[in-house]
Amino acid sequence: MSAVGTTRLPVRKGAVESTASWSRLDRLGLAACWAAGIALCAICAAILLFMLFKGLQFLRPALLVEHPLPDLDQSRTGGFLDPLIGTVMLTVVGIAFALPVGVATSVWLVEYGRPAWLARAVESGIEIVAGTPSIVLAIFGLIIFQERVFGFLSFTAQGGSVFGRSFLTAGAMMALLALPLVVGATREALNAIPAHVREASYALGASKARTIRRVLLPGARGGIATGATLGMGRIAGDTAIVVILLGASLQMQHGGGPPLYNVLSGTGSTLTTYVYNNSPAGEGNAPDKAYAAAFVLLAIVILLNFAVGAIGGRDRRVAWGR
Amino acid sequence: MGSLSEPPPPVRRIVVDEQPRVMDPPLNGNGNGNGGIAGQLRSAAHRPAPAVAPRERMRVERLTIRYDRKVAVNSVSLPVRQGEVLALIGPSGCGKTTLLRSLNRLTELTPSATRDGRITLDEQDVDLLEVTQLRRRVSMVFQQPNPFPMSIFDNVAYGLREGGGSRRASKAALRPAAIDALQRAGLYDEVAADLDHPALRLSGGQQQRLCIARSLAVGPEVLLLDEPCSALDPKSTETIERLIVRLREEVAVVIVTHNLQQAFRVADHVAFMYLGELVEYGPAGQVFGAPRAKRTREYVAGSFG
Amino acid sequence: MRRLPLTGIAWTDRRVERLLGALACTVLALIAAMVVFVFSKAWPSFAHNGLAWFGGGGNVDRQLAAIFDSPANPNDYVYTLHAWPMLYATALLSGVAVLCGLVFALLCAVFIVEFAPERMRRVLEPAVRLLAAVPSVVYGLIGVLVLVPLVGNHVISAGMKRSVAYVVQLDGTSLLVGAAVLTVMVTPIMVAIVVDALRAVPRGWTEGAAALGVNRWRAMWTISVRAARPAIVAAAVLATARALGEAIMLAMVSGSVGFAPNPLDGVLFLFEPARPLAATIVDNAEGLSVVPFGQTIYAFAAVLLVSSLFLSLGGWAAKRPLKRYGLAAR
Repeated sequence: MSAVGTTRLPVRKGAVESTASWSRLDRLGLAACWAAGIALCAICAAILLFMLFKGLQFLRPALLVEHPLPDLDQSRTGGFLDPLIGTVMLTVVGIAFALPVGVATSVWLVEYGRPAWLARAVESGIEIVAGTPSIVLAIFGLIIFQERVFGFLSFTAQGGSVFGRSFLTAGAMMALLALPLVVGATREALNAIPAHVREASYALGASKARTIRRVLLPGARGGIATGATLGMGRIAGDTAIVVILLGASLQMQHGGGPPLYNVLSGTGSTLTTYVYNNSPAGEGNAPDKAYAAAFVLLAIVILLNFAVGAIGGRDRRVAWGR
Repeated sequence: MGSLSEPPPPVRRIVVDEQPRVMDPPLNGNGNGNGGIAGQLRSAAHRPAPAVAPRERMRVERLTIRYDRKVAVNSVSLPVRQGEVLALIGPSGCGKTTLLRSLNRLTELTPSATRDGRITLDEQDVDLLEVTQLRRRVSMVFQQPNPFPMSIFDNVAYGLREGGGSRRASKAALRPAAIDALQRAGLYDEVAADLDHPALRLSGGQQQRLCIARSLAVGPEVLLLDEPCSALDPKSTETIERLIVRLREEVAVVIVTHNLQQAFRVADHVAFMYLGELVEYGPAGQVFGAPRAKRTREYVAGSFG
Repeated sequence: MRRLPLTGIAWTDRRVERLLGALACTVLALIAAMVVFVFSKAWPSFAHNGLAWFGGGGNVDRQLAAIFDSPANPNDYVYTLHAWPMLYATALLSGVAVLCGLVFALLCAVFIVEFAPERMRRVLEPAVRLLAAVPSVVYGLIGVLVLVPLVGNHVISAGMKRSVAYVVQLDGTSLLVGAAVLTVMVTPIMVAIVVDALRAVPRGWTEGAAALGVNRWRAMWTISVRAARPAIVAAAVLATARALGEAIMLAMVSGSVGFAPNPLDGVLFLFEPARPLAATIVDNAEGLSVVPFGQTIYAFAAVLLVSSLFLSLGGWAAKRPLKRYGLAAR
């Protein structure tokens, strides 16, 4: 079937047009695009490889399990166990606050949303929270949680002034960081459920509340998990709120209240403040510990962000049938 | 035409007719098809014969197009002549749109498409031409009207501004060409006062005529139309069909349509395709009035498709 | 009907709707509370300074120290502050980073969508997501341990340092490093948004442009990028919000003195330190217990809050005229 002269002619298979006929400006633009793409790859590779190199150079397993010593000169001994636990605890507290509120908000927005002006206001509100700098959220948290009313969340000093800084207060503000991500992902997941699934549930006589509880939320599980994971990544990486709202204690201190609770109402540090304090911007005399902690932090955050692909990917293949 | 008592053949099997597929006229000879039944039918459709004798602009030689393994167009040969309208008809999936899109190498936008065979424009192989230059000479109008999100004037002037010409051509310099294109597309009278209004505010029929004007503005030699009226109401359809017949003097027109009545109304030559094969090619009067292939007879009679 | 244990309250649809609605409205309540509380605590600082708060004059660090050293008597609190150097530094750093980042992001996005070979695309897309996920303290660490010494020791000459030694120390923490790292931080956000928008441009438009014989580059810019303008605006707004609020990285990298870089200094302008509002808050976080100092810090937070509110408003307003030409807004 091949026609005469095929071999002489250029490639037939999806031939990409040549740039020979383009004007000089167009070709310059194309070169700029290429340069930008390569630069982005190079920057990413540089950051990753550098942190990997420095991390492997300075990270010893002992560091992960030793408590840091309350010494101004960190470079001698001590690991960062407390900051590591702090990061984990703060992330859990933050997401524990954010998930119920976030899922409730997006369920209300998608399934109810009456009156319409209120729904629009709530959506704008979520966007505003997403755009507010975390340092402002931290300051707001400090102001609010130093009111007497919230004394139970942290430590109250003898003179009656509330300290306002604890895992609970920091976690509450961290929840605001994660909230837009949870709301967004849940909303996408709920919108992806086709109308006929809801209609089938109503047709069987189930009320709306029951439909939400039994059909929609389980179906949106993947999206909720995605949102939660992204939120956790965001919480783990934030420093500003921790600096302001977690107290400046390197080791975990207990706050007020019953035994298990006083861990949460106490202060501590996280990997982020640990890195900050050990860099030249803080006390600054343990850059190798800073690198090690930064490496662990980066690993945790990358894991959380890329695990999203695995969670979301599995559930996305749930066929809703057509 | 044709007895309807016979059951239509099952669609899956490729039934090749005993008669030769490639009919004598396509690539040589005049193929005017004037006079006789064709002439009667043409006058029946109230359409005047072309003023100038048609001359061949493009030629398709043994074209085969594959998407990965699946053959979409199988060794098709056709001429495209200025001064006449060529209609590609056939049921869905027969390859007529693929064939049309290969004429201006738009199939290259799909990575999985491979092409064998030759297409020439004025004796030049289209593969040897710069593709952007080819597409300026062979212009296409799509099924869904797709005016750009700009003003009417900017739409029509778009091809002139960006198609390799100087971008800095002022609006005043481009105005005559734009107005001319709008007039040729029969839209100028309706939009003369609103050239700076957004194009998306026009009605469906007006948008499609705007797309035709946009294609005409770059001065093509061949105009390809991919089911241009399928998304439009009958009134707009009629306007565009009359426009097509008027345009055939200036450009070669190839129109793909699944609407047999439309093909009957506008075409001078008709190519009937089925499952990628060119089953019959000939003057409109002959294909509709006295089709040679059995499959053509069945399709024209409405047995399938 | 399902009932709550102990109380026997029925879970009717109405009740569920009201409960969920109430939870949803906590967001609104929070924002209102944020505005009210931050402003009420910040008010004394604004009240005592009036509009001069936003003006220039004097050394910011010395003014802050004076506020911190205020006597204990509430009548004698010192509030004098002229915050111009910090406002200027904030605007400068954010503006430069977002502008450079926007150009960079547009080029990258166009590259990813149209011109990148398949293998490069498969590397670039995760790379963008990764860069967006890196915590700001890690950016700051790399900046302060690698870039700052590089600039301080190798790029700034001793002569340059001497020439301004009486005013400010040039040690590498500078506008240049701050703006550069901030650009890298905001670019991935913008790339992601613009790539999504470019891919969502209707095929009819891109095919129509190709069918008119317009080359890929021109078609991309005149049609796709043009159609993606609302998304580009949204991306720029998001990036500006991120840049304005960036506290930790800039605290580590762009300088710890409240200095206003002087463009008339020529090249030296790039090497002078600059400390934006957010970084100032972080740097001075320990002093919050001193009342007037705390109120001054709250005043900084109030300014940041108002800016981010205005940004959201501005982004919304900028997208409205684009709806006219059929560009769908997100």
